[in-house]
Amino acid sequence: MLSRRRGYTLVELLIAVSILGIMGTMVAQLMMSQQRFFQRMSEQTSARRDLRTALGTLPTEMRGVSSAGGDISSFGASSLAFRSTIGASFVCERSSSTTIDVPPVNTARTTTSNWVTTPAVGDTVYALRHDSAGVAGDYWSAHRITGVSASAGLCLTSPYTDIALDAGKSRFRFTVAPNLPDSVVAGSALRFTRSARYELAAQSSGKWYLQRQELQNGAWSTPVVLSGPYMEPRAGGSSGFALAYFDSTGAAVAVGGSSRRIARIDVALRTIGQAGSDPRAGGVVDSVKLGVALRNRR
Amino acid sequence: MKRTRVTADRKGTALLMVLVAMVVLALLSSASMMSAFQEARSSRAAQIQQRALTVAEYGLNLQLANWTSQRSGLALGAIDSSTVGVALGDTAVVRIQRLTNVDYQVVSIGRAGVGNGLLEAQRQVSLLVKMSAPTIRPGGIVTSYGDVDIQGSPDVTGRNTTPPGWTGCGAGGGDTVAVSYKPGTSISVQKPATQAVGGTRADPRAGDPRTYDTFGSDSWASLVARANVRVTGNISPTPSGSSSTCNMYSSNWGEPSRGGNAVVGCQGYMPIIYSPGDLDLQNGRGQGILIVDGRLRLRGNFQFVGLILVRDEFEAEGTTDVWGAIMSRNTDGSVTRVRGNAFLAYSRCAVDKALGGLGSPVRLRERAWANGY
Repeated sequence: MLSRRRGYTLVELLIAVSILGIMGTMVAQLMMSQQRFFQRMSEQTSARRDLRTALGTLPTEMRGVSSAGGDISSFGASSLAFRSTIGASFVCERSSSTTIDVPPVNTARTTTSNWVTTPAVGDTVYALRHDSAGVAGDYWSAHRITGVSASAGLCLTSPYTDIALDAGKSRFRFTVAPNLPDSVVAGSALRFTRSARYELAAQSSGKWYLQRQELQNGAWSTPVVLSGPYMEPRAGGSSGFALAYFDSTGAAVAVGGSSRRIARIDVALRTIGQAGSDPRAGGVVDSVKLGVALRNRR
Repeated sequence: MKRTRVTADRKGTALLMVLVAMVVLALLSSASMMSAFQEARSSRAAQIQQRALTVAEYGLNLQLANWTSQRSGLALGAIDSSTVGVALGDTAVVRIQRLTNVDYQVVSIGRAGVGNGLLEAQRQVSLLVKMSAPTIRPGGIVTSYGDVDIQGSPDVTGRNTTPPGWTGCGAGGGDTVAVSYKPGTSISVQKPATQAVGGTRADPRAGDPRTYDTFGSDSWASLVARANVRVTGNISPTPSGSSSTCNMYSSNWGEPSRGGNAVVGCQGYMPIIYSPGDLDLQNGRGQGILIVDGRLRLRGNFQFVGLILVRDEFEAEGTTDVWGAIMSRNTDGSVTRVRGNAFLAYSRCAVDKALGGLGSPVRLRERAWANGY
C-alpha cells in the first residue's frame, strides 16, 4: 500500500518562486525609490537650510555698512571685507578727553546702547562730531578702543537714563585713542565697528564652505564656517558665493573700483549637496540670489 | 453533540512580507512628510522675519514723514513714543529720543506674526536724524532791496530786543543794524538817533535777490507750500482758543502777547501765514512767519512777532509794533517806508522761534542707519 504523500510538484514550486521573486523585486524597487526620494528631500532641505543660514547673516551685516564712510576695505567676486557695525550707542557722559561713558544696554524707556557683542579692545568707535554745520558737514571721528570697563555708577545724572528705572544697571566706559575732539559731547552718537571678512574656503573634505572672520587686535580670527558646501569659486561667475556691486544709479561697480560708490550688493549663493545612493543622480543643487541695499550710502 | 472544527494548516510569509514592506514605506513617507513640513516652516519663519524688518523700517519712515513740531521741542533725553499698525496685526513701536540740540535717535521695533507663537518675529532698526531748518539771516530789523524812507516819529532799532513778557530768549547780545539796504539805493532817515538805532548799512547781501527767496534748505516756494494760514482779504487776526487749546482758524495767527488776557494755548503756535496778494493790516496780532506775495501795509495797532517777508513794497505807520525782522524785496521798484509812531525792533529770539517750528528731520549722510540686536 502506497502511503499518500502531500506536497508540491516541481512546476508549482517554480511558479511560486517566480511570483515571489517578481513581487520581491517590485517591493525592493519601491523601497529603494522611496529611500532615494527621502534622501534627496533631506539633501534639499539641508541645502536650503544652508542658504537660509547665509542669508540670515550676510544681509544683516551688509545693510549697516557705510560705503560712503569707507567701510568696505576690499571687495571681490567671491569675497568681501568691511567694517561691520557691531553696535550703536551715544555718549551719556564724557569724563575725559580719552574716555566716554555710554548708557546701559537695557534702559527702561527706549533702546540706548545696543550691540551684537560687547565692543572690545581693538575695535573702532566712531563718534559724531558737532563742530560742523548742516547735513553736508556730518563728520565722524574714528577712535580705537583701548579699554573697556563697566560700572553701575556712571552717568547717574544723565538725562538719557531714568534715575529710578535704570538704577543699578551696568553702564560702560570706553577708553579710546587718539584723544576725542572737544566737539564730541554728551549726546554725540556712537557707532562701534569691527572688521569682518566673508569668503569661500576649501575645507579638509575638499568641499567649499562660506566662512566668516573677524579682525581682533590686529589679527584675523580663526574662521567660522557659516554654511555649505557650496560650488567652488569660478571666474565665470557661477561661483558658490558670487558678489556683484552696483552704485545708486544701478550701474555696476567693477572689482577694483571705488568702494565708496557701492550702494547695492547682489549676493548669489549656490549650494551643492551630497550625491545620493542613486549613481545616476548627482548632488542636490540649489541657489538663491538677493540684492542688499546699503542703508548708509550717500 | 460536540462539533469539532477542523482548521487547515496555514503556511507562508506573504502577509508578513507585505506588512514589513508597508511599515517601511510608511516610515519613509512619514519622514519625507515631516521633512517637507519642517522645510515649509523654516521658509515661513524666514518670511516672517523679513516681514518684521520691513514693518520696522516702515514704522520708522512713517514717523519721520509725519514729524511733528512737538518732537522738535523735546527736551534733551526726552522720548516720544508711538505705535504704527501696519497689517495683519503687524505693528511697529517707534521711539524718538532727543540726543543733542539738533540730533535725534529714532528706534523702531517691528513685530510680525503676532499671536502665532511658532512664527512671531521681531526686528529692530535705528536711525540718526538731525533737524534742518530754513536759514534766514536778516541783516537788520529792516532788510530792503529798494530805497528806504523813514519819517515821522517811529522807533526802528537793530538792538536785539526780547518781545514783552517772553521768556527763554537767552542772554543779550546779537545786536545788528536798524536798516540793511542794497548798495547804491538811497536811504533817508529823519531822526537817526531813534529811527535807526544801531545805524544803517549798505550790505551786498541785501542787494542779492537770493537773500529774499532762498533760505538754506527752504525757498520762498517751499515756505509757501508749508503755509498754515492762507489769507484772503484784509483781516484783523485774533488768537482763538483757551489756556490749553488753540483753534486753527485762518484768522488765528498765534498769540504773541504774554499779558493777562493772552490766549495761552496759542502761545506756542507759530504759523506760516501766506497772502497771495496785497495785504493791509490795521488791527489784531499774530506771530510766526508772514509771507506777502505783493505789498504789505501795517497800520493802526497791529502787532506781530516773528519774520515778515514781502515781495513788493513794505510800509508801516500808525502805532504798529513788530518784534523780529522784516525783509522787503521791492520787486516793483517801490520804496520801503516807515511812518507815524510805528515800533520796529529786531529780535533774534522772535526770528529763531518762528523758524524753529519749521525744522524737519534729515538723516545723517553717513552711519545714520543701524541694525538692532
